[in-house]
This record gives sequence, structure tokens and C-alpha cells, in this order.
Amino acid sequence: MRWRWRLLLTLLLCGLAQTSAAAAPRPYHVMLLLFRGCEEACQGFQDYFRRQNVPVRFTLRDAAQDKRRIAGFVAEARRTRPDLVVAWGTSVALEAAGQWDAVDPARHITDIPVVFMAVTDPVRSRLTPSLDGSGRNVAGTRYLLSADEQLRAARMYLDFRRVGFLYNPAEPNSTISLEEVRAAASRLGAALVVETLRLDAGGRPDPAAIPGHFAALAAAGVDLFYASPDSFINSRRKEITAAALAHRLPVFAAAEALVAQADGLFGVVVRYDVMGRFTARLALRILQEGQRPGSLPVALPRNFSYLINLRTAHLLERYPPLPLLDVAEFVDNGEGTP
Amino acid sequence: MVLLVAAQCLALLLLGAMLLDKHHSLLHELILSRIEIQAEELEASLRTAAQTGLRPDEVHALDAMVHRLRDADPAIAAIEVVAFDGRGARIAFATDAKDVGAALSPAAWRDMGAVRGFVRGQSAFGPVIVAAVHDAADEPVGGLRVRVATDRLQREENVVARALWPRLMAAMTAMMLLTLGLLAWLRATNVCGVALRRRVMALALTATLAAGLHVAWHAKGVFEAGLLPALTSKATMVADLVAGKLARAEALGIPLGKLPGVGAYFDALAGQHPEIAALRLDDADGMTLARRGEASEAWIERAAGSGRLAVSADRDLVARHLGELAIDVGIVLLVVAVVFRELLGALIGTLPVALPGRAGRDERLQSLRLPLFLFILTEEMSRAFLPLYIQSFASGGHYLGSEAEVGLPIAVYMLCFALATPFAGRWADRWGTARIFAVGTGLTLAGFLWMALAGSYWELLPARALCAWGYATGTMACQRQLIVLTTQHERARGLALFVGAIGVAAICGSALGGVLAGQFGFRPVFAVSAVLALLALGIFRLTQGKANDHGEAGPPLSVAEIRALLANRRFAALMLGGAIPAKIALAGFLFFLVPLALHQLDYRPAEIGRAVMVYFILVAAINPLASWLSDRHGWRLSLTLAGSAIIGLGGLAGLGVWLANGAPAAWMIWAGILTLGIGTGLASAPMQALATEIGARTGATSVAVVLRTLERLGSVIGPLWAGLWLGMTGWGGAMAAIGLVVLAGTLVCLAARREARP
Repeated sequence: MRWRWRLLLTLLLCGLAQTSAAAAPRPYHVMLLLFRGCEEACQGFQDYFRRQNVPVRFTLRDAAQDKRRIAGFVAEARRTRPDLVVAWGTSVALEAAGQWDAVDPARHITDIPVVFMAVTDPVRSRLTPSLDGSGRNVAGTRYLLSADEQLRAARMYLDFRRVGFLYNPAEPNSTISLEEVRAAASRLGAALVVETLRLDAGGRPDPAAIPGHFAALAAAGVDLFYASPDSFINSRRKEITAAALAHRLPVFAAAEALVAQADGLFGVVVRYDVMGRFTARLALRILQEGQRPGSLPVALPRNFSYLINLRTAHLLERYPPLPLLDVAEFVDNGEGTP
Repeated sequence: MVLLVAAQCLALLLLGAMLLDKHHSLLHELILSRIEIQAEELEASLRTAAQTGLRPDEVHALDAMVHRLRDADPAIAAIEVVAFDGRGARIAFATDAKDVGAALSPAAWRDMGAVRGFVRGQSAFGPVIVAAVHDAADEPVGGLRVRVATDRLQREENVVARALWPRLMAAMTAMMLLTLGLLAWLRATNVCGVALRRRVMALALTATLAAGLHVAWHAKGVFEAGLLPALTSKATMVADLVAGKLARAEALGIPLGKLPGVGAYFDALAGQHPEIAALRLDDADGMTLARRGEASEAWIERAAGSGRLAVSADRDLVARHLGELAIDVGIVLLVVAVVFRELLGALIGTLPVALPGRAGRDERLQSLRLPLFLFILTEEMSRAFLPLYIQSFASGGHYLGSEAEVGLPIAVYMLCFALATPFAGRWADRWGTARIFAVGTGLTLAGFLWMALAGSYWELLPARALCAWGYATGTMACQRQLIVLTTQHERARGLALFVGAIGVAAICGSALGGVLAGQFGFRPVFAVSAVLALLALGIFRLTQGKANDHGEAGPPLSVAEIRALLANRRFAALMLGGAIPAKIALAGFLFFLVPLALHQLDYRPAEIGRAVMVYFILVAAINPLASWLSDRHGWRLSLTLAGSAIIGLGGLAGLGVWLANGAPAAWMIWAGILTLGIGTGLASAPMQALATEIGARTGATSVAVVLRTLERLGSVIGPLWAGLWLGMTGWGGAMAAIGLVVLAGTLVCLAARREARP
């Protein structure tokens, strides 16, 4: 008789599953932990859910560039238990999920999927042991191309023999980037000329030294300046690109802002909204398809933008070759201002 | 006489059909590539929108765009833009208002979403061009479908056909009259024997060639006139496209004179669109800024911002394509020449004037070649594309991988052939050769008809089995007939005749079958094979009579004898290490992997046929040399080992591709074909001689039969082995797996060395 009970139970469960599917599905609850407001990536992420007609409720928490506020949001997430937590940027992601070999169950989120985006180097910042998957409740996306890919793309626009690089001793990221670019440049048969940023008394790079650094680079015969993804370079983008322009030095940037919001000539980047949508797709694979976050590779979107600042191109009289016009996105001319 | 003229006419008709087919493909290519340029504009708009998060149905400008594009090109019948909203796909915009809002079936949407770039396909309404649009997360969000106006294409093709056929008929009539007249004259001159055969052959070939050349020359003119409008309109389209880009550059504020990369862009365009001969850009003052190529037609000029862009179409395109056709035509003529030779052998054998005072037996022996040749041709015709045909049925769902699915019918064929051969020989001895040959052709006919009409994968297995039984029965009947017709000391010559027919049929068949399949599709070639089988039967009856000759029974194959032979260490080593691996390589690589891999590399069936032909030519060319070396210097084992090692090392070429984890590379396949041909040519005759030598020492009488039977075992294993590895490791891995088997075999073969005497 036992099998009959089991059959009855199965039928009952099936019926339940069907009725719940027929009714409006419970919306997912996704919590976004942000660092500097809901910018393009955050908006792209939400937009993707809307486009795919996925019922969802978003909770946004913004640290407003204050690292001390992040811990409180993480604690809130642990308490309210959303279906998924999105962490924007390296600092937020580390606060939410911890380094993979130093997780503190009392402090980090360990039983809710955490998806990170806008993280410069997820492996070196120890969010994941490898790009093949974190092996824990963490998944995420990348948004930076390798230095090799970037310099090859730069060659499509103009030829270069000596690449200039500003090394920032105050930022560990800069050391990593320097080694990568040196190797990539030598593979392309170009030399790397390095200027080390002068630090002030507080150990921070001194913005007043920027024109001097560029004069030195120009004197060394540099014909392309590579702006690495460095927070100092990003925050001083106007001074840096202006100094380069003064020496008629084209700037190739690893990040969007130097071209879109300053006078950098060009760059091959993943746009922030593209990154947001790409991350949303990853989140849906976890929510809808039930994939384990730890087994999902930390991937880079396939859609890159070849950004060209036309105003700078005019000033330098260095125009993009005709084939590039088909693929490039132009800024500062009203065509594709981000 | 009738047969001779019929063969000539057939060649000419084939030429006509090939020319028309070439025109068809040229016209389609011109029009489809032109439409693709326009579709690219639509696709770019959709893609840009999708990247910024818009679905195709939210870009309302597309409605006007699809109508504008359709109105701009009369070759476009309809355009549809499909949008996918996460739940279902439906047509968002269409040139035909009643299509708007129609839903796509989930399967249709799956197919569309999987498309990368532009894909040309066939719909119920004719050719279509399809592209999918992906969003920033690389998920398909929509697509577009452009239908080509087939009635227009058809009309243009009819015009050309109407211009070509009367000329073809006239040429054919002239050729027939010329041939008949000259034949009558030849008869009057009373030449006989070989000289007569040679003259008739030369005459018939010259007449066919002249008529063929005339038709081809005429076709060139007709094609050029017919294709010129399409060519000009393609060039115009390219001119518009480039002028638009240049105008945009200027609108961005880039002066044309300072725009870099124009020359390189022109180079890339000329490479992408072979219909374009030259491009030129002049500035407002008429100074030439960039120029590529030499103009062969009038320049088509367009304003490009402040400058002028000029494009010239390539008039020589048609001539170039007809030149490519020349190789195919050459193959057809080669086959026609060989068929003529066989025909003449048969015809002159029966001509009363030709061989006065010779015994009828010799005539019958000579004329046995033709039916045998035709009969073997039936099987060889589909050699180059059989795996592709099977693949078109394979679904990957029958518990087998799709690779094993393709290999199975080939293995079934080989197995049935191996099983049928001993029986077929005994039947021929018992029931008579004529009757058994009729049974063989009957089975073959049924098998090929079934192949031609097959509707599902599982039908292929019994159809192939029928073909195998038929082939085994028919060839054994011919072999027994040969034994009947020859005395003991003539037998070697008779066997040479037999082997020669097989070799020639293999060389012609794979190439001819490839050409025909490329022109008319796979199924008609099977039908042709069925007709050939019928023809072979008719000629057999005509030349050999209905008498059922009973040959002396050949040595029966006994299991005991196989066991006794295999107990001999040297013989067993030779079989396991040499004979079986060689056939694994032949059936697994050449008959299975090569057609599939070359197809993936975009080889046309005719080119695949030629590639397979190269193997047969190499074997035919090297075999006599290897026999001579083996007999003169006694290099039996060393040549076997060398051949085997060459095949094995060639197979290892696949290892390179496998390690690089890439798609099949053409060099890898060609290396395999060349080494297989050279290796087999070197090894086969010495190996057989060595086997006979060893066998004779053990007192066996049917070494050749044992050798063939074991070889067939290798042929059965080959396709399955290759299919297994193809599924697991890809092309390079499968090829390397075959190479390793052969290399391992080479080592085993070493055991066939004569033992050192103490």
C-alpha cells in the first residue's frame, strides 16, 4: 500500500507546482550594493531584467564612495536574505564576500549568491582563485581587456614605437599593469618608457608633477601614451590628457572616462551599461537556471567599444583610418556621447 | 555505333547542364551578395539598437527602412524584422503588412537565434538571407530575413537557357553527322584491330571536344550579356556603400585628403567582392587620392562628400568562372575517353571484321571489361560524398553520436560485403555466372534506387546492405567468368584486366560522381548508379551471352585454414600489423573522414571527388614500381614496413591539428591523402607477395582469400574507429588515432621478419 501513498503524494506535489506556476511567480529580490551611486552599469543591470520580462524587486544601497558604510549594507543583506546580492567594484565585493582564502562566516555573505562587477582584477584581488569559477557562492564578470588586446587594437589606428607609461608606486594595481603592458609592447616590437609618479609628503602622487612627467616622456621620443586603469590617473584625467595634448602625444586609455570625459584620443573599452547587462545575464543564470555561482566562469563581454575622441583627433590631426569608422564610436562630436 | 554516339551526346548534354548550372550559381552569387550589402545596413541598425538595450520592435525607424530597401532592389521580394521579448518571437516589421505580428514557432526562432553573421538558406518561397541580432550580453533579441524574388531569377535563367539549348542541339547534330561519316569512311579503309580502335577513339574524342568547345565559347558570350546587368548593379551597390562611408567621414570633420587607410580599405573590398575590378577616389579638384586595380568596364561614379568615388565591375568574372568549370569539364572528358576505350574494346571485340580467325573466348574476355568497369563505377560514383549524404539524415539522436551515425552505414556495407563474398563465389560456381551477375546487378539496382529515394536514416542501412551484396555478387560473377574464359597460364593477364578495370573505375568514378553531385545533388547520382548497373547487365548479356558458364570451383574457404595460417607467427603479424590497419586507414580515413572534413572546409563535391581520385592515381602509379622492386630485390617486408610507416606518419599530421585544438586543416587532410596513396602503393603488392610466400610454406592453398577476408575486417572497423574518435577528439584526433593504429601495426609487422637461423 505504501506505493499508493507515494503516488498520491507525488500527484499532489505536481498539482501544487502547477498551480504555483499558473499564478504570477514570486518576484526575485535582488540587492545591489553600490559604491558611487546607480551609474550606467547599475542601470543596465536593472534594465536587462525589465527587458527579459523577469519579475524582480531591487533594493539599492549606495556607499557614496565611503568604504566605512559598506559593512552595514552587508549586515543588512545577511539579515534580509535577498535571492541575490550584486557587488559593484573591488572594495564592495571584498567586503561582501571576502577573499576566497580568508572568508569570515560571521562577517561575509556565504549562503546567498554574490555577483560582482566593475572589479579590475578578480584573481589578484583574491575574490576568486581562478577565472574558471570561484568554487563558492561568488560569481562575477570582468570588464577590462588584456594589455595585449588593447595594444593590438591601438595599432589599428596608428603605429607606435615607444609607449609611455606613468607608474604609480602608491597603487599595487599599477605594478601589475606595468608588467602586463611591458610584455605586450615588446611582443608588438615597441619599447616601453616608464615615468614614476612623484609622491608628496603623504605618500600620494603629486598632481603638480604631471606636466614635468609628460615633458620627460616627450623628450624620450614617446609616440603613444598608455593610460593604465589607475585611480589616480582616472581622477586626474583632465590634467593628464591636457599635458599629453600639449606635447601632441596621443593617449590610449584602458578605461572609458579618459576618452569620454577628457581629451584622451582613443581606447577599447567595455561600456559600463554593457557590463551591467552582461552581469544581469549571469545573475539570471543563477536565479532562473539554478546554476551554481562557483562553477560559472568570470567572463568578459564580447562587445567592446572602440572609443574615439574626434575633437582630440582634430587637434592632433591624427584621423582614424577608414575601416575603423565602421566599428568606432565617436565621442565629443554629438554622435555617441555616453 | 549507337552506343558510341550516345556516349558523345551524353557528354555534350552533361556539358550543357553544367554550363547552365554555373550560370545559375553565378547569378545567385551576384544577386545574393548584392542583397547582403543592403541587409548589412539593416543589421547594423538593429545591432546598434540592441547594444544600447533596445529590442528590434522598439526601433520605429526600421519600418521605413525595410520599405526603402525593398523598393531600391527589385531582386528583393520581402524583408521581415523579427523581435524576441524573452517569451516569444514575432515579426515586428515587414514589407508585407499582413506578415506583421505573426509569431515564429519556437523551433524557427531557435534556428534564427543560432545564426552568426549572414546565412543563406532556402525557404518555401526560394532563397533567403538570415541574420540574428544579439544584445550586449550576447543573447539573441531579434533577427532579419530577406526573401529573394525567385520569379525574376527564373526569368533571367530561362533567357539564357533558351539561348543555349538550340546551339547545343546544333552542335550535337553536327558532331553526330561528323562521327558517323568518318566512321563509314574508316570502315571503307579496312583498318582493323588496335589501329582501328585508336583511330575511332581519336575521331570520336576530337568530334566531342570540338562540339564541346564551340558550345562553351558560345555560352561565354551569352553569359556575359546576361550577367552584365547584375554585375553592374552589384558594382553600383558597392559604389553607394563606399561613397556613403566616405561622406560620413567628411561629415565627422575628417578631410578626405587626410583620411588614412583608404587604399587598404579598397584592397579589402576588392578581396571581399570579386566582382569589383577597380576603385578610385578623387578629391573636389579632380586629384586622385587613392586607386586600386585596373578598370575593365566603364567607371560607375558617385559623389562621396566633396570628392568623387568611381567603381569598375570586373568583366572577366564570367570567363574566370568558366575557367574554373574547365577542370570539371576536363574530368568529364577524361571519363568519356575512358568509357570510349572500354566501349571500343567491347565493340571491336564483336565487330566481325576486327579479329578474324580468333577464338570467341578471347573476344569475350576483352569485352568482359566494359560491364565490369560500369558495374564497379556504380559503387565508386558515390565514394566522395557518401558520408555527406548520410550526414544529411543523421540526427544524433539514435543513441549514437552523430559521427558514429555516419560511420555505421559505411561499416554495414563493408561487413555485408565481407560476408557476401565467399557465398557469392560459391553461388557463381553452382548457378552459373550469367545468372549470378544478373542477381548482383539486380541487388545493386535495388540498393541504389533505395539510396536515391531514402526518406530516413534507418533506410540507409538496408539500402547499403543491398548494394554490398550486389557488389560482392556481381564482382565475384565477373571473376568466375574470367576464370572460365582463361586457361591457367592466361590467368595472370586476365587478372590484370580485372584489376585494371577496378583501378580505372575507382579513379573515374569518385571524380565523376563528385562533379555530378556538385551539379545536380546527391540523389540523382544514386539514380545514375542504378542506371549504370542496368547498363552493365545489358552489355554483359550482349557480349557474354546467356550461357551459364560453370567455372571450376575455387578453393573453398575453411575456418580451419584461416586458423592454421594465423597460427603462423609471421603470417599473423603481417595480417594484424599490415593488412588490417591498412584497410582501417583506407575505409576510416579516405572513405569516411576525408569527405566530411573537406566538406567542412568548403570544398565542393567535385573537388572532394578529385581529392579522393588523387589517392587512386597515386596507388595506380606507384603499385607497378613497388611490384618491380619487390620482385627484383626481394624487398617484401621492407617495402611493406616502409609503406605502413608512411601511412602512419601521415596520420600523425592530425596530431598537430588536434594539439592546436582547431578545425580540420586542408594541409592535414592532403598530407593524409598523399601519404595514404604513396604508402598503399608501396605496401600492397609486396605484402600480398609476402603473404603468399609465407602461406605457401605452411601449405595453405587459399592465402589470397584469407588475406582479402581479413582485410575486409579492417574495412568494417575503419569507419567505426574513425567515428568514435571524431566524436571524442575532433578531426585531428580521429586522424591521429588512425595513424597510431597503422604505426602500431608497423611495429607488429616487424615480427614477420624471418627468424635468424641459429
